[in-house]
Amino acid sequence: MARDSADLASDYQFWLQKLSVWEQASSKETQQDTCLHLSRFQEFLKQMYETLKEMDSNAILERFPTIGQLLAKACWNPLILAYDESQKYLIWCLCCLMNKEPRTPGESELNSWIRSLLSHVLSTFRFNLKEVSLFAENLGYELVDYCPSLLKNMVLSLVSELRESHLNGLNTQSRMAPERMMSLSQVCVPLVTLPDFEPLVEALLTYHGREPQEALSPEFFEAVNEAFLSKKMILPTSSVVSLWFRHLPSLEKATLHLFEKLFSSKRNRLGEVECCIKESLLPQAACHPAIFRIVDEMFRFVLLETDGAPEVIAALQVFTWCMAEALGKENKQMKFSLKTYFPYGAPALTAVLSQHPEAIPQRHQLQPLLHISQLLREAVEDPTHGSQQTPFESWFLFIHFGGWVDLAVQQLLRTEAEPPEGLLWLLAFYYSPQDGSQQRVQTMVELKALLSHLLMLLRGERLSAVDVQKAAPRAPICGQLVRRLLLSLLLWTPEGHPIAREAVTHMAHTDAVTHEIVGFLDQTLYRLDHLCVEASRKLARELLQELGAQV
Amino acid sequence: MEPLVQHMECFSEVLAVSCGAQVRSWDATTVRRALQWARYLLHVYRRFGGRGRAREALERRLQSRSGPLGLRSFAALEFGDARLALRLLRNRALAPVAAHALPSLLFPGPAADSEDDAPQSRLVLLARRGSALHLLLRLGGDAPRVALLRTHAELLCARLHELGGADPTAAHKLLDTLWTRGPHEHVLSVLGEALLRGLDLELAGAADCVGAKETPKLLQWLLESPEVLVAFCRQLPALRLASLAGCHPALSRAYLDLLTAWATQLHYDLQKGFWSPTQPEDMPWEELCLRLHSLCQASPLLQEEVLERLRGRRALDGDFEVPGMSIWTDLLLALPGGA
Repeated sequence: MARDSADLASDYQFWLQKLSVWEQASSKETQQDTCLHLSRFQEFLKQMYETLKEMDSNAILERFPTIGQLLAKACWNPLILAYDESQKYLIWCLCCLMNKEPRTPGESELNSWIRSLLSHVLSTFRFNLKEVSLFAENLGYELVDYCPSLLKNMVLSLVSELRESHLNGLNTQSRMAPERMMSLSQVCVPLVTLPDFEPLVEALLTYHGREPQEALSPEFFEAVNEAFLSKKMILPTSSVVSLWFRHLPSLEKATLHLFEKLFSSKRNRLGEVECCIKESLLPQAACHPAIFRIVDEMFRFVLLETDGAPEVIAALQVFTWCMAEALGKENKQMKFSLKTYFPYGAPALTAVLSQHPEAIPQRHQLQPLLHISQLLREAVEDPTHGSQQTPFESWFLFIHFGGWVDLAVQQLLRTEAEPPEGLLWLLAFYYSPQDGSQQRVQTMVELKALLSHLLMLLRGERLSAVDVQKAAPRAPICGQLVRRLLLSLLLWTPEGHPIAREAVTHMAHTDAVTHEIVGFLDQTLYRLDHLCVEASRKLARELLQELGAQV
Repeated sequence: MEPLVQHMECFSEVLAVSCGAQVRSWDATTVRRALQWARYLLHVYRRFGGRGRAREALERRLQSRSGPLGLRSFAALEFGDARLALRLLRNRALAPVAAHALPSLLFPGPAADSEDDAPQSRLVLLARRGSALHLLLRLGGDAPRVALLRTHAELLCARLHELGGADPTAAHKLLDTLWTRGPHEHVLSVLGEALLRGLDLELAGAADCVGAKETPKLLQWLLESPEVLVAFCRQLPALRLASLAGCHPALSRAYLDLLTAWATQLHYDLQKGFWSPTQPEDMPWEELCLRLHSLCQASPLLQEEVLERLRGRRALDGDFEVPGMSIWTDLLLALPGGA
């Protein structure tokens, strides 16, 4: 408590000084400085109110003798009054300062002074042309009547000024000078969350001037971004995209905000993940390759930091899928080549990967899979071929497109004959990209053996859960891959369905493994929802519900 | 309905005295009660706000009973609390006990934050919007003037609409008062804006909107007030007048009459070789031409009217084709289709 009190006292001094500086000069720099501090000052006002509301007027004056000065300076600063909820906290602080029962003339004076300050706050707007405000009075109207519509008309006026400049693009005599636009954007900083300002914000964001340098202030972009991310403001997608295009820090912040939502401790179902991602408007924005590359970079960073965490991979796949969907909906004229989105991937590889796996009929699925496998293998293992990419780059490219691994697994469980090497390689690479070629060969050998064992079980009398459980992982195959094969077997083969429940219960012997299985089932369901394949979907959903309840 | 009306009239009286000396006798309870009434009337406004017989009936009662300081119209019910609050905050005569209680009555604190009908959130919004206006105004430029003009035009139409058809002379009285109190230049600009707005609304098919229906009243007053008409036709820009004249035959005729009258004031300066004004306040040749030209551009019908008028006058003058003899000849030469 004592520390809080000392903090407040030093903050108090800091803000008193700041306010004095701000009221001395009303230059562009002071305005900019004020805008930078608006949210912190509001925090301070909030804290002050929490403190003051417990005290009576005299106690307040004893503890903060200059409080009148501080509050007055703030009340005379229109940028502060315009920001978010600052005017509310200021008013509340003033009310705290009121004497409930004044006993001396001094106390009455103070009350009187506070009332006049409140009156000022409620009518800061004084129209300069006296005669002109008389007109409204002659009609019987006061500011309180026409304030909303005057503001609306001001905004409309400025919007049409902007739009005319826009249309006059070819005309060098643009109606709104860059300095004026800068000042206008600065004025908007405290006001982006006021609904009346929405048309103006939109017009500013979508205005594309002829000048190469940015005409709007960076604080404006930040303010809009903040308001959008905290849902204090609703903007059309085109405006948000324009914002991110013109102000990189906002794009980065928006992506981080999304990551925070997705990768916080709570485990999200992929359906929710998709919702979050779509809501963020990032996939739509990422139709622009420049934006996609930045978001992709950030995904890459998180992947490296988390050592390839499955939820990050899953989110990346959903993101890519949403982006592809948004691209499909967009105007055909806007199509960029794939290379612009994935500069780090060989064009042939990128082209094959970006096909829709689900769109390929079953009997033709093997060929593209093998092609992918070959291209990746060349990129990863052949030092002369495609030497620009490290194995990680190739793997990173591959994991964007989730459907192929599922397809590979299904193919492997279907073929009666020798499992194609290409498929084995693909799975081994997907789950252990960092392996050297020797180790990978080993993995492939073991994988082949495991598969033949599983297929033998399938062909046998009756498949039992115990049999399945006995198919333990053999080094160096990782546990994840084995479990995936087993689960796929249970879900995708008719023999597997009857014993699925029992087998899964046996498999889920630790929390971590249960989490993994839940994740896999959820992912499968998610993909099935996009595919509309009923039979396995029902089983997957039931299993997920039961297992999910346990976690 | 009657209790409602009584409440309305009560509150109107309270409002009327809130800026006067009567508040000396008020206490905290009085203030609280007044604010409660305002809140109740806000609900009334929201409920009967859509046009309806109820609203019109209430409107008529208010118009007949209320003075200038009370509730002037049904629309005023929306801001009763804010109006009262501002008046009380500024009134030095307010009894100390009421004055000391006022701020916390208006701004109870976080508990009242979510109530959208309590004065707190509405006053806070007013403060925020006011400072927004202040900031936008500081930017300067054309926008403030344009916005103010538009807002005043809206207010004028709203007031005229409220006066309704009950007293046909009420509109005239109001407009006369506005003209007398002035400033003339502003009144004319607002008038022009209001007429143009009415035109736009009509063209957009929103003929039902407030503003579209007020145009006839405004026009009638304008045409019946010679002093205003002359000033109107003098001050408003050529293009704007041309648009208005294009849609209102009565106005175009009056305008044309004035233009021809102003034309007769010019005499031909033989030495300098052009038509110059006799008095300093006469309309110069260039402006006359510009205005006539704009009229011709506005519509083919108008063009025909103008040319016919000028030709008629030229005939009376002797039908000269030589420039410098008759102003009508020269004007016709200067206009499209006139030669």
